[in-house]
Amino acid sequence: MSDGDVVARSLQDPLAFEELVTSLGPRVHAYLARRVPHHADDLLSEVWLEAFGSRGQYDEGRGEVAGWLFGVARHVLMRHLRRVERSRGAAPDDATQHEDWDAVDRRLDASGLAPVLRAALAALSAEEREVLLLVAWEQLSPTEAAAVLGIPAGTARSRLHRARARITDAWNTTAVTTARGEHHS
Amino acid sequence: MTTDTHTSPIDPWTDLRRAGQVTPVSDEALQAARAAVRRAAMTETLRAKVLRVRRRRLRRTAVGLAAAVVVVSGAVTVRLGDHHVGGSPAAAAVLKRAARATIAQHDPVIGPGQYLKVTLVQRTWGTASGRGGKTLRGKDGQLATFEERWTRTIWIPHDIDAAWTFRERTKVLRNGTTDPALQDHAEPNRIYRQASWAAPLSPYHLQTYDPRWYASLPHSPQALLKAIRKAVGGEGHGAAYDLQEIYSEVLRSGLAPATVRSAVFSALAKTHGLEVEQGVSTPAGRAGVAIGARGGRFQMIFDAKTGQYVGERGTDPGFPAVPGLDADKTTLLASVTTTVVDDAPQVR
Repeated sequence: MSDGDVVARSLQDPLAFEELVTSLGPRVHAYLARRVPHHADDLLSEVWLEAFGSRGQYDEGRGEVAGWLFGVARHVLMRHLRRVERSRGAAPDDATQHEDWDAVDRRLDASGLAPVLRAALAALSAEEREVLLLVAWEQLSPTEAAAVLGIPAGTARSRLHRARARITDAWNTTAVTTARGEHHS
Repeated sequence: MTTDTHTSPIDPWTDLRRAGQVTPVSDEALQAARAAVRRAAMTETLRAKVLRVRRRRLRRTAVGLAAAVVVVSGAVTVRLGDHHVGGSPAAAAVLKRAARATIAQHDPVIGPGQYLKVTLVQRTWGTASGRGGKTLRGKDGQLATFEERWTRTIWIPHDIDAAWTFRERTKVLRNGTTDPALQDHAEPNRIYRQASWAAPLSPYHLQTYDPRWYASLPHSPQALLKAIRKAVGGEGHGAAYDLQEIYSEVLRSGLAPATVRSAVFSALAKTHGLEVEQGVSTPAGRAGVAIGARGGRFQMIFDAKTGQYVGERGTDPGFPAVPGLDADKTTLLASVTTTVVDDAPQVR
């Protein structure tokens, strides 16, 4: 039985929806943990409750259940960030600008190239960066990422293309510079 | 020395993926999410069950009404002399009298160790339908209709947030066909304990069963109706819908205090489009007066002598013609009674 079948069955048998928490819960949690590591556990239940309440809106023709779930998770994440920002007296422009990069930095630092990647990511527009991370981290296709963000698939593909090109350029440039430096030392 | 960056074991995409590695979700967090969904699912199931009861009333009303149609020419002619259909002023008078009679009542007081026993008795008609919703016929040629009485008793403890005890009994009163394959069989009786329907954090929480919600309602008649309608919800609109699906839920819960019930009647007295029907029978067989929305098929019943609200009834002109089942044109008859008792049944 596919995830879509489970969603459909849950409309008649609501308890069936719990199966999805078991199968897709870890991926949803990882999405949250990458962005708000200290709140992921709390937000996980919020995401699933929101998904349960809106499962009647899931349209199998518009993509897999996982993609739809990430859309719900993004909505919950944005709401959480707005709450946080309101308490700080500011308003967020998008979710990725408020990601907790500490966890990412620690991992990138280990590669010795963290500043390169971090600088390249920072140079991307917020829209490009969000598409890139949905594909790289959540293993979504560009079309699924588009569904999560509520944008046309073609727009997601072009943003992804630009993001990849800039990351690749930055990487190659730095790598060449590093290689030359080592060569002359 | 040269360095070939293109053969580096690490590329930006591998790095990026590594940067996204996180600690797997804990069992506790996953279990909490599952529990949250389970609670929501159980609540939805319960609400659906409540709605099914409502729909059952409607569906069986339709069946019962058809039976009434069978007798139309004879019975209606006979009964016309007993019935009087009035306009809103007459309905308002009945409702105002009910409001006065209700406010004079004392709400039951539940002491420690005692229970509020709420008994809902509902008599309805049903049909066995085939594909397309067409009522089936038995081998004897009779339509597969049936009448049943469903009784739900709730024992609500002094600590209203503690678990409640429920008992459901169903009795098939009569079948339209003698064909055993199409006769309705009563659902098995059952008794069980369940989390409080009043506790706000309970997965079964229903506002119409929560005394705290009643205490929070506004006193202004129109604001009261608006608040009840908002809480009980529903997609329909109009006086007929509100009477049957919204305000009846308050009255049939058995938990609405006299002040709220009285205020509902006072507010309805100011509602346009309600009409009164004299000469109806109460669920207890006494003389009653019914109030319904013009064109609606649902009525509240009041005792003709005391003026008090005693239950609800429904009719439906679409009821299948069922020879032999024409004695009672009412297809829904329900009443709620409350008493304070010292014991609740044990649940194994």
